[in-house]
Amino acid sequence: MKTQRCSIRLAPRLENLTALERFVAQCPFLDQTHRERATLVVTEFFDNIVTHSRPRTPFPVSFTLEKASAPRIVIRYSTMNFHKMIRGARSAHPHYEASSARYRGLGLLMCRNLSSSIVYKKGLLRSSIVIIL
Amino acid sequence: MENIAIVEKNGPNYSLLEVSGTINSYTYTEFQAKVYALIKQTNLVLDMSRVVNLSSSGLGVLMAAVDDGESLGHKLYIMKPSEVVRLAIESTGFSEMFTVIFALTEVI
Repeated sequence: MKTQRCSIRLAPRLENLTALERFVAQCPFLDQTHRERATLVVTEFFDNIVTHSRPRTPFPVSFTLEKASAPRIVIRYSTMNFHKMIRGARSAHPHYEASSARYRGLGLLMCRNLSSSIVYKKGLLRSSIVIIL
Repeated sequence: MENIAIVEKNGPNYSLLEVSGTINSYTYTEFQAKVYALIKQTNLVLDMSRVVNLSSSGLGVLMAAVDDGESLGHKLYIMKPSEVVRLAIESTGFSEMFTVIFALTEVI
């Protein structure tokens, strides 16, 4: 049986958050609960990638949503500092940052708490994050 | 800034911001400016029933505004949070920081 999936590729720019939100909203097989979780998780990861990753090549960031009882999300992108994403995910701790006048360190914590599993895979050209909601 | 709309209204002992759309890293600056300015003056009610995404940047603003308000004797209320707002707040583990209400009569 063919797996149902939706995919999108986006240049790593914050203004593309809108397109990413629209992509999840229009994915036909997500129920409302999974749609809300998926929206929060993919936008947090995309935000983190845009803000903190050092791209190896000008490849876009790709997102694939796959239908399952617990939907699967695969994020692939090119980066030279994937280890920082992994470290951040393990040690995420909220803190107040005076320079931005807001609390930081919430995003990866949210992703962890909204998913049943997250696997980080470092690749030669592109690394990936596999999330089961 | 597209994708977020904020309408400001004022009551006897509060200001109300009706927020609709998405609060993310691309859109949150206007939201941040309004929230920080108003919480310094009075109690602040955020109607978040029509918010379709609340990112960690938006949540970080809300948490800082709660702190600012407490130090000045003002309170921040989240009114009628949408499901995604409720989920975002719960996912941080900081739900107890926020006072959730369902009508303005709970403030007056």
